[in-house]
Amino acid sequence: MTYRPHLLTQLGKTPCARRNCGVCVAGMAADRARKGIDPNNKYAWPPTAGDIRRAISGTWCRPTTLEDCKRAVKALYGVDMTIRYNISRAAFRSLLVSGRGAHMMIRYSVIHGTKFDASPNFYGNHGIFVNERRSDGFYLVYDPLADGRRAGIPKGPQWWPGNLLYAAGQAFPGTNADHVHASFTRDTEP
Amino acid sequence: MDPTPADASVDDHRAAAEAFLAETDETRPPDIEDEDEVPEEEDT
Repeated sequence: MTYRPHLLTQLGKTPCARRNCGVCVAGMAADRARKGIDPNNKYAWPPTAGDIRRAISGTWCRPTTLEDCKRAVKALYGVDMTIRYNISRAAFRSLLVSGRGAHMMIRYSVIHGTKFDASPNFYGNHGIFVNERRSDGFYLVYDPLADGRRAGIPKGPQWWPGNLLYAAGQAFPGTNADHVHASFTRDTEP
Repeated sequence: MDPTPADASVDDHRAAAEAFLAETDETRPPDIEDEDEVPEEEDT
């Protein structure tokens, strides 16, 4: 079975919480890439949002990019991520099926009205971690907002239909039709 | 990259994935936006 990382949720009392989607996804990607194995260095394991945020921007709560996250997980955990922009559905599917996890960029407004909506008043650009694809076309999504903080908010990883995942991905501003932007872990599966 | 059938084997997908990565690079398009801040909740 594909290794499943710990869910890192972004809301709470930590600094920069409302801007930490990419930070949390980077932590989950590092956990997946290392298959849960602690690098035994000075940083906490499993990864924490605090360590990754400090590596990216210190105490400045600026938005993050895939490049920021790639540099941070390399520096903190020795993890190499592979970024690609405008990935076709077929290529994304092949990368997931063959054993990689993905830090994917989505437009959150597309999720509204579905049972996967974990922030009904958020319409903006968001990062999620996609861990694996099931044979029926559903993807296991780790949304850093899915903390079950009140009734109606999903809690924990959720199986999203592929069409919803791709619709949210292609709605990210600056994305070609039927394509998505993502950063991939190494292939961790046999 | 040629579309890989949904029922292709894992090895087929792995070959397609590796070919895609080899043919492409990490160049960031100029019009890509960053991730946004989640607004204050909805504490209802």
